[in-house]
Amino acid sequence: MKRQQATSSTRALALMLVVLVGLLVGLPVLLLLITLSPGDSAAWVERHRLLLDGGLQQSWLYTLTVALAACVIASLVAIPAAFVAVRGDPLIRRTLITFGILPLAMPAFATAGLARDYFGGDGITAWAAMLPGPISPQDIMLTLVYAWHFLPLILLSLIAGLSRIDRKLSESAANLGASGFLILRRITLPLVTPSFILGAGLMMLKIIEDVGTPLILGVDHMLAPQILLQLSETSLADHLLANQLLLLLLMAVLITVFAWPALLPNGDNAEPADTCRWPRHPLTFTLAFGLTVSVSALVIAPYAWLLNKVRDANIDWPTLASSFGPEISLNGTLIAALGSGTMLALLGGLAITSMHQHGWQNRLARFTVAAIFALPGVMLAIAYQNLQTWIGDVAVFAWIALVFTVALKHLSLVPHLFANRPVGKPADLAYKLGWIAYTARLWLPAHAATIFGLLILGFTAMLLELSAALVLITQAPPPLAMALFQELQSPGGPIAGTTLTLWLVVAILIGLGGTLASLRPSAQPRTHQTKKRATDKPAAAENPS
Amino acid sequence: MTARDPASLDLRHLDVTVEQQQRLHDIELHVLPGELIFIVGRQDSGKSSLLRAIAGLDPIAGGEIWIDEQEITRMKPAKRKIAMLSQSAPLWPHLDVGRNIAFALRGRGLRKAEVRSRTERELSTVGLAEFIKHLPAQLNASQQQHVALARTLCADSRVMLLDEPFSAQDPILHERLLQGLKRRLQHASITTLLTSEDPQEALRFADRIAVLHEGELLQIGSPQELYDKPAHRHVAEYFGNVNVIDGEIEIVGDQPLFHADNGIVIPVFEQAVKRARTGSAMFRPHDLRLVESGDEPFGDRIRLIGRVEHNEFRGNSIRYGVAVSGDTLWVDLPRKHDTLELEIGDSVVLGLDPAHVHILER
Repeated sequence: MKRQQATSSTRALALMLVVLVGLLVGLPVLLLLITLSPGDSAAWVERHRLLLDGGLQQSWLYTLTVALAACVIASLVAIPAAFVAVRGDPLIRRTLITFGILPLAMPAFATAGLARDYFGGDGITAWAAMLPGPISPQDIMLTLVYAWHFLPLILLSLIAGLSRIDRKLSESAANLGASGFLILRRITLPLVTPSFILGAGLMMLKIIEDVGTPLILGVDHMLAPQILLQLSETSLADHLLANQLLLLLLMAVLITVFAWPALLPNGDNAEPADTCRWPRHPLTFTLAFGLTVSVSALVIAPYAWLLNKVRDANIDWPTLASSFGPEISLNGTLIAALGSGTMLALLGGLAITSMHQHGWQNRLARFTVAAIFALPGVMLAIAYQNLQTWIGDVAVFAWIALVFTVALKHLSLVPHLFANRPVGKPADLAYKLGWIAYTARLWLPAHAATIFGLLILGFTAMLLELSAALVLITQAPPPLAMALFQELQSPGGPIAGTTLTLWLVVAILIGLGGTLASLRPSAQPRTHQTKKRATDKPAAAENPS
Repeated sequence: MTARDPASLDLRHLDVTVEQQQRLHDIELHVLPGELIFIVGRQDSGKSSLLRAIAGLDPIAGGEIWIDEQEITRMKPAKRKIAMLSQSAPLWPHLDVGRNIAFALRGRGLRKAEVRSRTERELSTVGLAEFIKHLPAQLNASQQQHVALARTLCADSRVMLLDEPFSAQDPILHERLLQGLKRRLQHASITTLLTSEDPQEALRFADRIAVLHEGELLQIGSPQELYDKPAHRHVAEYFGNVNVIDGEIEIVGDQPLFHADNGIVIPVFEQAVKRARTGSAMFRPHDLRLVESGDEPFGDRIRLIGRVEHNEFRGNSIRYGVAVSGDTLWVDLPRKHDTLELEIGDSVVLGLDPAHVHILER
């Protein structure tokens, strides 16, 4: 989709996005900042002393090291897989994208449960003992689980980035005598770097804010679990906690200010490129097929493991419907998931529309999305919790805040995962239609896949959200993800069939969403004009004979 | 760029199939060293496919490509030493204009200062020296095309493929740029294939023209040859309006005569048509002239009587549609201020020199 000239209505949409995000994110974060500000000079001194505290530094260093190592390991698989997906057979591309979306519907702590059950025994311990230095088996397990689980974030981002590199760019270089390696180094890699930064950055931020995985694997010195622990034991006035939160905020601000131009440069130029494909060759196909099977097996494994658990759980299917007990707030979770899906579709629509305009609204929308991208979800949840102290105790506020947190946190994925679904608008046809007819006949059918994808993403993200839920939902009954987390915390124990039934539904939905996402709708809706053009023969105009 | 030995380019029975769709069929083309050949044809006739195949960007299903004495059919694009400028003229968006051009100069052992001065010189040639530090996104389409052309010319290739290189330029600038490009290509002795959808431009600038139609090479020849003696009806129609009358050829004594279906008889002076039995007589609108009352009764002209059905102002001439024996013939008459223009419904006598009639065989 090429950028369009902005109209007053699209400018209004961009402003609406900024106002909404300002109210939903900016205001709570500002109030949190006020709460966290030291009141007097003694507090400043104490904060400064604690900043140099070894424990705080160690926690940050450890978290960043794990996140970085996981990114490096995931990249080793994701980079070749992305090239295979884009340059290889279209079937391989569709398979990788479809399976690549699956982990978005599965919390990382489920993958951690699988890893703990299968590799948590003597195997990994013996292997880790051979490593030098103070690296524990849990450290390795944690890093590998993160690399395993969040690999698709880098993979999908790279696929989107590579798909947008027009083959003519590399062909021009080849015609000027550049070798394949030179083209890769000077043309392809620089152009795909922003997408890589986005994927890797998203992965690192997800790791930094993740709570469930370290707790399942018995690692207690990651940043997010420590913050949660302190939050449950002390208040926001605690200097150590305040320092950690302020550091997180500072990190978010730095990422936003310095990285936003690089984070989403292609979100606004999402016309599908005529990408270069490798020639069909048995060797390349075999390698690509092997890599695809390996990546697919990795992402399917947690689902298979949980399905196996369902089998072991001896579910009484006839009484399944009545077995949803009061220990899980099923209705609350489903309503919240619907709310999250709808909100993501609305905000995502605003973001995509604003990003395809020329001018300041494009930059404003990109900056807004980048700011949300950089803000850890835990931080946003804490900001909402803090807001509750300002507006008073409202019964459903925690759930509403959870919906906002989940939808807003996934907004940064929208331009990258969905904006590359081009929808052409035949201007002459659209001009003749009224806006209701235009919406019903052209806009909705053309955007149906994107809207459906956004709804599914928001819905499933809510179902599996743990970190924000742990902060916000402090009273029973908990949402679904927390129930699953509690069940997985007891190693080897059976999983409630009721919970897993829902996971099956999620898996089916995501499979469907993934298939939709892998489709490339035509750049222009089929109209009588395009049909005519397709059958046009060169006419001997003006020729009397 | 200095003059050196130009290269010849040979295409031998070239077949190109892309995504199971045949784009080019049995293309046979011999390009002489230093020649500028225009590849013309309508949209989707295979012009770009031909250039892409020669550059090695699309796989060859059959046939061979030779440059001088070297076969390059299976050679990688980077090894062919053929520079190609594709239609959309893509510049690398992450490199500024200077670096885009300098990329074509790398690997020649030039020092940085030399690369810089050559880059500046190339940009000055296209009038964009002040844009050396600009990113491609900061240039308009016309400027981007200029930079892409400068980059391609920097490559110092002996064979150059230009796919509608000035499509983004306005018509007046277009002509000036083509003149400049032709001078430069001749000076540097570069063998060039240039695609175009503008037949008039091809007639003016080409050494020879090749006409493609639906993936087949219909004819190759000099501009005059293609205009006056087209081998195919598509070629005749491509280069401007044409009158075509279907009929049969009869040999009377030693003289072939064309009997049109509408009853007109035209003596044929082309010896090659003696073999044909059916065909079409073709002549251009400006081959017909208006017979005035004072003209000699016959001379060597065929007389056609008709009635004006249509007129069309064309600046320095007027085009008339004249109904003759059930067919409409187009006539271009020069516009003279001292004569009255014909009105619709006027009866006219048209004269046609049989020497200007070309027979299209069927």
